[in-house]
Amino acid sequence: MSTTDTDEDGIDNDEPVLSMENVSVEYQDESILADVIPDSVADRLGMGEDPVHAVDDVSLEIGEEDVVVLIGESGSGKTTLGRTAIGLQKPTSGSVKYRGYDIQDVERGEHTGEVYTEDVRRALQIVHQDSDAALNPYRTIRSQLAEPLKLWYPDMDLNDRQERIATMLRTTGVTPAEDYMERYPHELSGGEKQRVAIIRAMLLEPDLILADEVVSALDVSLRIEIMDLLLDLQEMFGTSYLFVSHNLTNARYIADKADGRIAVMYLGRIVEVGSADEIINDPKHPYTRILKWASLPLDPDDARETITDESPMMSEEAPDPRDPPSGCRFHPTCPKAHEVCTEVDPDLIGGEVREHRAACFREDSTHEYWDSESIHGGDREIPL
Amino acid sequence: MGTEEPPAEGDDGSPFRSQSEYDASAMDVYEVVFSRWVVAPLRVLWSDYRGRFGLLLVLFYVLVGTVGVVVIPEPAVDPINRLLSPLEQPNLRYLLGSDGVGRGLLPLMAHATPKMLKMMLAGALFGNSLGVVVGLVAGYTGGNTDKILMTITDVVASIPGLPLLLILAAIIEPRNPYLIGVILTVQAWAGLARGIRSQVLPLRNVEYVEASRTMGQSTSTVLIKQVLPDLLPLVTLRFMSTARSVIFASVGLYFLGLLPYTSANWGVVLNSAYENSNILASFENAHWLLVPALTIALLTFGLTLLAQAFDQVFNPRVRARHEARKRADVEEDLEEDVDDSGVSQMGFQQ
Amino acid sequence: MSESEFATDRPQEDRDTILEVRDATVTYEMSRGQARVLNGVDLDVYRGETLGIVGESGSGKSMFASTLMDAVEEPGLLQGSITYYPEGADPVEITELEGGDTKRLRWEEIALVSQGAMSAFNPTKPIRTHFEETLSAHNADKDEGMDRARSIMRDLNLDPDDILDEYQHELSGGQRQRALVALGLVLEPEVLILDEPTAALDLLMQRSILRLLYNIKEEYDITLIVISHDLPVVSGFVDRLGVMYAFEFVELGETRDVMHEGAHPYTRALMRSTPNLAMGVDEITTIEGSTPDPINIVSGCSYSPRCPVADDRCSIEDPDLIELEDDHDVACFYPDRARDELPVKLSEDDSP
Repeated sequence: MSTTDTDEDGIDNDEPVLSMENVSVEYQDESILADVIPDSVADRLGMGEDPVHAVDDVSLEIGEEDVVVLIGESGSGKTTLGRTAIGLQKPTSGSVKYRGYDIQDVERGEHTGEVYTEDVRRALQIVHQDSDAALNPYRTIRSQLAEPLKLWYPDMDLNDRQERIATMLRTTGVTPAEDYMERYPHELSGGEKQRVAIIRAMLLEPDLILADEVVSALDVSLRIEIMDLLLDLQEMFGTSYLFVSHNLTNARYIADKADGRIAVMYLGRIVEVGSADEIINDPKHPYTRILKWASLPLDPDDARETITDESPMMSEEAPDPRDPPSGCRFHPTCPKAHEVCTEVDPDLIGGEVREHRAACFREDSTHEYWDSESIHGGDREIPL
Repeated sequence: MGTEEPPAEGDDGSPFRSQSEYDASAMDVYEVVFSRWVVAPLRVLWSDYRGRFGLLLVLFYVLVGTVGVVVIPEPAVDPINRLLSPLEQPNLRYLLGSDGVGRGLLPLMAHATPKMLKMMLAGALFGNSLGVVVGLVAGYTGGNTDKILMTITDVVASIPGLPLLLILAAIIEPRNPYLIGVILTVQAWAGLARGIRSQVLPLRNVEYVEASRTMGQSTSTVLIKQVLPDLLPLVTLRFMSTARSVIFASVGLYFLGLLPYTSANWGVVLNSAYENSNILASFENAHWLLVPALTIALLTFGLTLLAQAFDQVFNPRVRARHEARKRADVEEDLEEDVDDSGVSQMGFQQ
Repeated sequence: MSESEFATDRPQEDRDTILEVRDATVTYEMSRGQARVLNGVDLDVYRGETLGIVGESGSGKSMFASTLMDAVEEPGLLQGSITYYPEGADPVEITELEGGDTKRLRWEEIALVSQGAMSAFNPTKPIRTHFEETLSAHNADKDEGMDRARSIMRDLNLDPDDILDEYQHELSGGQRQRALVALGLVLEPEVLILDEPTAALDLLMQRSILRLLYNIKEEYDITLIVISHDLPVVSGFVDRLGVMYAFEFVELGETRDVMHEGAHPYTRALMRSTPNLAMGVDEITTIEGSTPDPINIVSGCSYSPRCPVADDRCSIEDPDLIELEDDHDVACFYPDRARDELPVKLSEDDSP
């Protein structure tokens, strides 16, 4: 269980740490000209393009010491969803609740006496993908790590802060701590910088950290180290993680080790969710199956087969998030799409909230899908 | 580099319960702050030849303006000693010769220095502070605030400069050198605001700034601690160039007679020399013209050098080397540790 | 498993060398000392093959690619010899080329598609202009060249009419990468070097690109060199695989041999640390220690500080890259130890 000291002052109810209900996020991709002209004029002239439906009606719950991995490609909305979860992005509709309190309401001051914006802000943190840009190049490591402490632990004096920073550096393997504290970011390697960025978030003892592709930019051997480190820190601090990844093997590693869940996203929707074992060994949604097929194996002959085999995708081009396909968004690419898939968008089917579910009519044996015609001239197999 | 065992733990098992090993006193803190903010920058400046010269030159003027005015006698009209050449009389008063009415050139230059320095300081501080604040707020906040601020900035920048100065000088009739400095830079902040804003725009969403916001830092703290450091080279450069332009602008205004006559100004002396030394006909009294000209030129030169050298001060790579040198002096055993940890200090694309 | 089409299955005599690298070393003078970012590399590249070079950041692989084009930037100093053997013409010593000849070599004979497809095109010019400028810079016939470009683009699944008039920001990552490859091929080079062709691409796009590159490889008469830090990317794609560590090659051989019978401890460690769906999560391990410093060259074998099977000899003597088995070279004194003590599982059917 959690060993943090926030249990004493933190909120202690039965609500999940974070819950997103029917969250949608839309934003405008404005052309430069539309940016300059007042909005009313731009609208009149029909400038400003269609809104991008980054996230569409997504519901997700994250509990204590939980790990959820959002996996998808670019345009899937995973980054937007992650940022919405920790409050860096406002949802266009739906609600994001921290321990039962809607974050927008808290910001408006509706729950004074119980929860304040600062509490929420502190509880939800981020670690960025690009460790080079995540640290201020003009400040020493020590001064950057002292910031969160100065902000949230005003009772700590210089020595206490020094001690805590040194401890964290040692815990994450950045030693000798005293030496590293005085360094500037350019004197650290990529892996070390990433560790420092993680420490910075951890010093706040947050309830949830958004780890946005934190290992993608690192060498292969470092990835495992960093993921293991995050799991160790989770044991120490009881933090939950929301991971965003585009790599299925990384997602599987961390979800498996943490006993967490993987949520597969496509064009703003969660199309499948389940444990690592379920997603990898029993993928239900055709998109998940295709992702698995596309994950290159290590064995040379297997890998060659994957490359040279005919692609099960019906379309090689990525759809436009500004103009998503009708019905199930995956239908243009799906080798198993039927007529009904072009008309109706399936919800997650298959069980209770924490069980293995997929947003595909094929999961429902009684659905009219089975009476409907294939739109690609017959179902294709996805070789796995 | 594996994950180390956390050090000895307290009761709860959290690594944060251990006793503080550190015991820095207030003196230690001041020492560190002094070292970082004063010693290290000075070291960097000194190591660069431009910084060295610039620093010496500027310090020289400050010295003249403070100590010099006490030591060097006040300029006094003395018809007997008119138009003396430099070194003709071996005393402090006439070391650099005298002007058409017998005033020593050295005293003239020296006693004008405090005023010039005050003008420059006031002008550079005003012009730059306002420019930085406007640029920061506009660039970071964006939206309507940005649009309004920039509109004001652009309007101020497009007001014709000289007529504005004329009007202001006529209305206010400033005597106080600080006030003169401010009036002279009443437009300068606009250009800087634009420049600062451009530099702030890409920083608005850079990861470390966002991390700061996510951490809960207030906007003003984010601006000062995260955004401003990136702007310091630009700000310092502008500071020096504004100071320079104040010299020229004030000289110009006195030249044009827009500011009330006083001999305590290098430009005025320059003007008198131009009009009365018959310089176009012969070089006999050239010293009268050259002394104020050189005085102006040397300070300008010093400021320019200093501005260039300051760029190094704000570069973390250069800072690191200088701070490291100090670290290395103090703790030699860290040398080995650095190698083991295999820090990659190159920026090679591999 | 399918019938193998690996080029190295062809008999040895059929292979002739197109690029011969001997003792290539690149050094930089730094304030801290001399940095050696490529350390005495010897390598033969065979005509028509697809060679993969795998290594982590800081291993020297991108620097190696630069040397092949004589594109090492100042103040780096390239020493050693790199000989190019064009078909039916005299061999060319690349390091001795000057001016116009170097320009001719680059892009017409050897082309490089560098990593970072994101910013390789000039954002203020449409894609078409890049092709036209490349063609005219090399005095190639513009009409013929553009026709060729269009045909190459179609082979890469790009619609030329769509792509040529766009600006780089209007293309997706995958499209940009493919357009870059097309640009590299437009002058019909003999050798194409691809540096991290799938970095920063989505999973499905990665596979698509590899598929398209595979087609190029089959249809065009070309030698490919693919550099990647990601083993799975090259494993199915290349005929021969070279593993780089600390600025030199530590293993080189046919892909299947290197992957299944990896002889160097680093190669095996790399495979063990690459997350793979076939392995259980507990079977994946990290590589202890940290990346080598180009200035403080370790004495003896550069991998010895991190090597689990190293002994005293390894910290004194530096092993050369020598032939272990047929067409399989390794730079290690104890390849058997590596094989015995570092089990590797590549697929579900493998036993570790």
